[in-house]
Formats: sequence, structure tokens, C-alpha cells
Amino acid sequence: MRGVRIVRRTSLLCSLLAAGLVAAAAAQGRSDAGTPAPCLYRDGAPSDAASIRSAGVTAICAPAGAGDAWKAEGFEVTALDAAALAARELLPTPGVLRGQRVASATRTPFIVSNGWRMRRAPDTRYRYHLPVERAALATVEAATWGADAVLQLEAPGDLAPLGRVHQFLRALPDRDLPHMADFAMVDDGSDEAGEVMNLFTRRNLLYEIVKAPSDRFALNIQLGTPEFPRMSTSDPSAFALRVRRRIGDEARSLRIYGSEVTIARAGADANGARVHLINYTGRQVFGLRVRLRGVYEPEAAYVLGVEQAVLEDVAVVDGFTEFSIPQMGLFAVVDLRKAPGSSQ
Amino acid sequence: MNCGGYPHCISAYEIVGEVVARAMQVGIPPERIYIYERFKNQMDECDYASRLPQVVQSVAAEAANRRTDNSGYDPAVYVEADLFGEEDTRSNMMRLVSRTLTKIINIPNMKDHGATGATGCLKNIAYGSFSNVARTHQNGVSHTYSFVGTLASVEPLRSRTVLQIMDGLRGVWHGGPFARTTRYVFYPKQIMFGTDPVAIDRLLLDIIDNERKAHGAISIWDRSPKYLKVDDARARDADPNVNIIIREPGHVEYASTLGLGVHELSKITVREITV
Repeated sequence: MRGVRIVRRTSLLCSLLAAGLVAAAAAQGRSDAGTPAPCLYRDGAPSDAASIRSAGVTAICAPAGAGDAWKAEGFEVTALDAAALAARELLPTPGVLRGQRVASATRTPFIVSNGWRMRRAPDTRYRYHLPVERAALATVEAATWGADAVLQLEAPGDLAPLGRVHQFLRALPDRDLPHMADFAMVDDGSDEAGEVMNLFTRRNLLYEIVKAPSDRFALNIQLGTPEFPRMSTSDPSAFALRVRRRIGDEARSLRIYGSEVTIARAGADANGARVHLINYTGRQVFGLRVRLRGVYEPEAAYVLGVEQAVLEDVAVVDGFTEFSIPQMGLFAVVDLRKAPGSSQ
Repeated sequence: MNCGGYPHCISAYEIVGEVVARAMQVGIPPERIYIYERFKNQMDECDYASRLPQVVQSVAAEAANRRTDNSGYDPAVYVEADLFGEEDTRSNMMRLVSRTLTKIINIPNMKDHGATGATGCLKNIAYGSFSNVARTHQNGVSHTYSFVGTLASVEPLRSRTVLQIMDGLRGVWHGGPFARTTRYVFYPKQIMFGTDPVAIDRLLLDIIDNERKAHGAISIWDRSPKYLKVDDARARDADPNVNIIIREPGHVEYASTLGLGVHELSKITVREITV
């Protein structure tokens, strides 16, 4: 066993905020701006406008020729012709692949996540072409990483979950905070560097992308150096584990307990932090535990499909804040504010 | 209790029922008596509840072994260890144990176990009270040598577990901890009572190993790679000379180093009562 720790912290558990207080703060903190969502693409006349509207989707992308007809149906329309759509980078369908344990060195579920691509190329315009039951996941993924993305749906039945996510995002205050990071990844543009960042993202290892080693970080990952030869990335999962152990779990700014398929984005500034949590299976998880560097108080919890979400078992220990989300399916966002007197 | 060996080797209904009856006899209100396991689907299979007074409470931490429900575990009491590079490095104690129970009577069975060598008092109370423990053994490697005792030594589980009643009316000498067939079921015809989980488990190791020897099977102490077929449960179930993981029966001795009990046979006192 590596570094076993036995912890019994009942006495340190603190009820920093009662459930009612969290809910009240959430209501006060909401802005009208909302969080931008990726655009649903429609290439023809608004024959299904009623079903899109009833699902709760209010904005679409459509070719200029069809735009007026959609506007007449009450939609906010962004012009996007077929050529511009095709010019966008097509993203892999997000989700958890089944049957990947054959010949695998790990039992960890294989997650297809595009977060690393969006981090690496934030100005790139993306598109998803989505099979059934992936529209909601793709939407929260793009929204989490702030990507300019367009959705093409194969399954009309996905409009309802897509609409629920759109409504959720409209009610979610836009708060784009600087990424929290434990180390720097020197991006040389190579495929190997991309795959390494993919694994970092999937393992919730928080990195800053830099073009050259940065003095701001104690650890810089630069492929091709004696410490990190390119050959060492032949097993990206093992490479990510090596980096993780180099940082040390105790020192990591973000940890997730209770799910191996939840990927987080964590951002913070002098006033507070926000944690996005995407559960790539979408199945309900109960009691998901989050540990975040910094001393915070809960400000608001937004859980897709849950009214008046609250955080439970909030604790501040050794400079880290921990909380549990009682129940979440696909997506949750937690806002935290700096605790009074906190110097971090 | 132990429900994992359903249907052929679980904590006997008669023993569980008698423990509850005696607890009530000494004045404990039945509504303050709990029977627990980690997984509700296993408890439902065994259905102890219908054999006990209705007000006795049945508690499971999770609906099933799917790793999606952590709400039955205490986020403040855990053992943290990175064993195989898994992301979730915590094993949390059941809330029932950490926050509600005051005394625990542990009722394990006499069973072989592919990762620990044998599963008795220590393994039952440890892996039956903490989350996320299956991560300790995979790909032929078992970290149970130190993990079982480490979990069992965490307070308040350690102090509240005051009595061990090992059900040896039936046992499993191979393929454990499960017992979906009777092929490897045997009948030690004994019940061990004690306050020392290490001492009882030390005796258990010999019981399981002797039964294996009687069937011509390799010892639980055999670490030879030639008997190892990693993760091949079908081969293990078909042949008692197949291990799917290198077993760690030394976990019992290790637990003694944590102050959980006495391991040396010469220092263990056994008083036999034949009925």
C-alpha cells in the first residue's frame, strides 16, 4: 500500500452553511446572463419548430436562407451555412465506452471527453454530430469548457433532454474563472502531448497549458526532455499516473471521490471558486465527494434535475474544502466564496 | 452478517436470530438492534428481516455493488490509499457504524477467499463496513495483507466490535467468498465465540487449509505463479488448484501487529464445548 492514511474527522465536520442558506444564496446569486450553450443546428425550414420550442430550446443556428423563417417562429438565430458548419472541427462523441477492458492495463472506465481539445484550442470552432442520448452530455461539455460548438442531432428524441440542459444553463450565472492548476503542460502541438492532456483531463489532474516551461509551477511537463521522454507517453494512462504520484494526491487541488466517470473543471480567483462536474455516464450518483484546495464557504449549488440543490457534509481541513453532492445525474456546478479571514 | 455466500454459506438464520433474541432478553429494545451488510440486494436475497422481529432494523449502505451510491458512508471517516493508481483512493466507513451503533457483534462464516486466503472475522468486519474495497485485489495482485487489518483497526469500528461469533456450521474451502454451488461447501460443524478476531482467524486459516489438503488442493499459503490464472474465475471455480490472485493469509498476522489480537497459536486459549 502506498501512504495509507486513516482519517476520522467527525469533530472537524462543520456545518458551514445550512441547507436553507445555500438555497437562499443561490437565488440571490443568479444573474440574467446565464451560461452560453452550444447552438442546435437546423439546416432547413422550421417544420419541427414547435417541438424544439416546447423542449425549451430558444436559440438555433441555421443557414441564412432559413433564418427568417426560424426568427418568425420566435427563435434567436445565428446564421451558419453548410460550408461554415463543415469547416468546424468535428468532435468525437462524448461518453463512456463499453467493452474497453479487454487487453487493458486498467479497470478504469474509458471516457471520451473533449475537454482537453477545448482547453488546447479555445478559439477553435467545433461541431458535434451526435447519436441518440448524447445531446445533453455534449451540451454540458461545451458549456463547461466555454467552447464555441454546434450540435447536429440524429435523434429527435434528444430535444427534450437538450431543452432541459438549455434551461439549466440559462439559469446558471456565467462565471468564467481562471483554471486552477497544479502543474504546467508544455504543449508542443504533438499528438503525444494531446493524448497526455486528454488523460490529465480524464484523471482530474489540473494543468495549465504553456508554450514554454513556466516559473509559476514547480512541475513542468515537457515531452522530449530527459525527465519526460516521448517514449514514456506510449502508455498515456501510466504517464498520467506517474505525474499524479509526482504531485502527490494530498497536494492535488481537486479530488473527486465516489465516481470514476466524473470529470471536473475547477476555476478560482481572489473571491471564490467554481467547480463544474460532468458525469459522463449520466447515471445517478449519490454522495459524490469533492475536495478543493482553498478555504471556502458554499455559495450556490446547481444540479441538473434537482430543485434547490444543497451541499452536505461541508468541511474545511488542512487548507482544503470538502463537500458532498447528495444526488446528481449528468451535471452539477458548485460556486464557493472565500471564507472570511481566509488568506488563501 | 455475511450475505456474500448466498445461498449455501451465509451467517446462519438460527445464529442471527438467537443473537437478536438474546440481545432483547438482556433489555435492548428491538428497534435499537440493527443487522447490516453493505449491499441491499444481498440482504434481500438472504432475507433475514422476515425471520426477525419486525422492528429490528435492516440497514445496507448501498443498493448493490455498483459504486454509485456513497450516501450510506461517512465522508469524515475513511482510509485513504493509492493501491493500483485508482482515482478514488478512499474507503469510507458506513455511517451506521460511525454514527449510530454502540456495540457490534460480528457473525462471519468459515470461508476460503481468493485474495485473502480465508475470510473470517477481520475481513468480514472490515470489508463489510467500508466502501470501495474491491479495489484492493485485481490483476493477480492483492493488497489485502495490510488493508484488511488497517480497516478493522479504524475507530470506532475497532472498539465497538465487541464479540465475534464465527459460524462454522457450514464453510467454503475453495472459490470463496461466494458459494453459488455446493461443490466446495464443507461442514466444520462448529461455532467459535470470542473477543479476539485475530485469534479466531488464526484458527480459521488452519481449518480452511486442512480442508483444502484433504481434497488435494494447494495450500492457501502457496504463492507459486504456476497456479495463477489471473482473473479467470471460471478456471478457479473448475479447479481448486487454480488461484486467480496470489492469496494473502498473512493478513491475520499483520492485524496482530496493529493490536487487534493474538496470532501465536501457543498463546491462544480454546475451550471446546461439544453439544
